[in-house]
Amino acid sequence: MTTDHRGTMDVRNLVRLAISVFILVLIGVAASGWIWAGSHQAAAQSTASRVVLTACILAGIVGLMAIWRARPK
Amino acid sequence: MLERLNGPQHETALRVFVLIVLAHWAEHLLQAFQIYALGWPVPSARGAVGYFFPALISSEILHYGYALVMLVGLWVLRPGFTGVEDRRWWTIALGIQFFHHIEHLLLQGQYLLGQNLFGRPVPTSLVQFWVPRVELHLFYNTVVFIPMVVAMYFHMFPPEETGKAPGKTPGKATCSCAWHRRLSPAV
Repeated sequence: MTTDHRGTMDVRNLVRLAISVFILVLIGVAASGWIWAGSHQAAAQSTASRVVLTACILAGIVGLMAIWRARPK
Repeated sequence: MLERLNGPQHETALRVFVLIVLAHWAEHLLQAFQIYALGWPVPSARGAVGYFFPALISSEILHYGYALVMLVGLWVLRPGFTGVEDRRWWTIALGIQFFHHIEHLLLQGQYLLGQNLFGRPVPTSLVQFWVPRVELHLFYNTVVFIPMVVAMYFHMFPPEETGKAPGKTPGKATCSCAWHRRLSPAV
């Protein structure tokens, strides 16, 4: 493995780690909202909120999978 | 102008764009923190800008302005995404942001006309008839941001099987955003 290649791998991992931390924060916020909605909103609103917040969590997981499963050129 | 933004200036333009996106996220995350963690009533939880300048939030102008900047940015910077994967994810973000922008256009229109949809007490977007506003916009911002950031990642580090977007000349990625370009001599 060349020094250039190793450097690229390090930067690549650093970038996707930073992206992952941010996505995990978003997942955490969506999860907090999911819990909050159950006790602060009317039943119909709470269900609707939980549907979209669950979609947020799923979108976050899809994003994490996309960046960690891809193999570099 | 467009050629420069998608050529030598693409990297700088994307950096500016990301800064705007992150500043907007800071506002939404602060609002979520005010509601979910601090227990503030939803109408009082307006993030930092809305706390000091509530008129900016109630007039919908800040929301609409941001939605428009996002839509224009996603559209204008799209030609610079020349790989298959980065172009695909960026286009997904653009498509979702288009609908998000329509929702904000409806809200802005109601504020300007002084007439809310179906006699609602506040401006209301279409999906907001079912989903409360804070959660709905967390959703919109998330489902635009995730494909956008994945596209940027693939743009910076093209995946192994990547090809060229339709209509683009095959060959090595030429954008200075691609990390390997910084390590190899210019082609």
